[in-house]
Amino acid sequence: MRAWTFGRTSEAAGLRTKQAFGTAFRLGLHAASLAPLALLLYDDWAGRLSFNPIEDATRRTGQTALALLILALAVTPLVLVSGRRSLMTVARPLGLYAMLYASIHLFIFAVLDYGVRLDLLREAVLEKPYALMGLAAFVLLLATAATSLRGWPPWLGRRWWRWSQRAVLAAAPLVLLHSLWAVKVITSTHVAYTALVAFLLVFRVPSLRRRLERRLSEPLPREGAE
Amino acid sequence: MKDIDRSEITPEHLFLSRRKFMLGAAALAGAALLPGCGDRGGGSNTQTTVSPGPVGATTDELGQALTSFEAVTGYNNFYEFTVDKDSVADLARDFATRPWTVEVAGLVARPQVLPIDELLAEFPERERIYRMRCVEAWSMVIPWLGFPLRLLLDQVVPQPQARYVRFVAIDAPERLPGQRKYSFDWPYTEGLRLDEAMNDLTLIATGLYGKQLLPQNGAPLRLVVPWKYGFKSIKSIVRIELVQDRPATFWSSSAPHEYGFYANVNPEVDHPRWSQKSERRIGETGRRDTLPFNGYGEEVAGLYEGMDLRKDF
Repeated sequence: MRAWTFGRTSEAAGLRTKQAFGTAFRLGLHAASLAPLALLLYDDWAGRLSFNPIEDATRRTGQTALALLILALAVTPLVLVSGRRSLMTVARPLGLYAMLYASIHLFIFAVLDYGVRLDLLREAVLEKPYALMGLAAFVLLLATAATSLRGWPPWLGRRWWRWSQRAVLAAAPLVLLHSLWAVKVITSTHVAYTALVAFLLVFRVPSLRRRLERRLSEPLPREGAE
Repeated sequence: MKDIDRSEITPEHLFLSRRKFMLGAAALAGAALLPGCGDRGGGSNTQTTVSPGPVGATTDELGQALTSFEAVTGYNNFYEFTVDKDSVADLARDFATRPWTVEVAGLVARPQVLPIDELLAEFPERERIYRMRCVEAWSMVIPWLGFPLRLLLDQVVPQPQARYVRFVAIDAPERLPGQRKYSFDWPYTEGLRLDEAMNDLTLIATGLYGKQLLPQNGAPLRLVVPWKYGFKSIKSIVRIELVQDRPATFWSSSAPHEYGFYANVNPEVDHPRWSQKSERRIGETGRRDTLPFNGYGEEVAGLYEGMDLRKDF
């Protein structure tokens, strides 16, 4: 599917404008997704991280991963409500960027913080629900990310592929639990994120989804697929 | 008290360079970094700033280096201002700690209301270098100035039925944004058993790094109980009260299953949601093993003989 299919295009000039707009939009998306990482590296270089830089970097990469995951989850509802099918194409890059930040988050935790000390890591993951939830969410995200790449669906089998694409839906609540359990006090940001995720998941209720889908010319592909 | 000269404190550019922890380099190095990470004996320790204190000691009794003055005064848990540890210093900058009076009352023969400067004049400061272990699993080594709480308690003469000491922090929502913003049961309160309070390690701190205490560290006076998690060391105290029954305390009232009255540092008793076996020393990368009673077992383990420290956590 072409990324910039906005609907009927009668004139070549109009098409070119839309192509240019689509390219700019995609570039903007990549720049915006990479900006938090660039800012983190800059702050580290400039010595502007917290006095507890590992905690700071862990928190920031985790927050960015969650924000990108929420944006990825918002794509389907946005398309269903707006009818702009072309938006569907941003779901995968958003999801993959969420995965990137989750990977850095996990790297900081396991390598920079725990120094790959297996005794402490094993205890943290097996005995502490926040770490277990985080790891479970990571595995689910990894499944969705890996099977979103070309070449995977055929040999995985349609059914499993579909479940792996839906795994991203389960990852979001797990990420929320992970962050709620890791902190001493729950702030209004936690509450807002939880409400937002719940709201976005409501659009996955089959009856509501079908009702909204009827207004589109053809049904949307399932989660994560282009 | 001997003040250290401002120039003796680590210059800002040196300290800033220490705050970089090479996230970028580490991320690029990737797997190449793996073998050395578990070893905390090497270069990582050298990141801790050593600034001279008034008596010249640069390590604690275990040879662990002092945490930099900048980190000690720039990274604070003080919810009366904000829950953001890096922002407390800014918000507390103009917090006035004069006039200030401390009331010592309750079951005592000679209750007192002491203006802070009288109290400071009465109890000469000495330096104590203590490890501080936060319940959030980070730690510092801090050169405090202060005097043992015992000296103050001896002066007011506790009555025989006094069994606990209750501490109350300042309650001033108009000056403390956190008290307006967060719905905790303000003011902050803490408590110790009388024998814990009389232990020689238990300090009333009035300064650190040879200087008067700054607001973000709990000026003008705070408690320091080094073998307990940091939240026991209540800041900006206005009232010390001897009581018969175990007093309610801020965190144990807020989440009783997570924070106990005793709150002794104990690697064997985890927080319900995270491990207490290891800690991150501010200024270092990697983790240190957490010591029972934060390394002060010799001095204080006797206080808890026969107690089940899992139950009385």
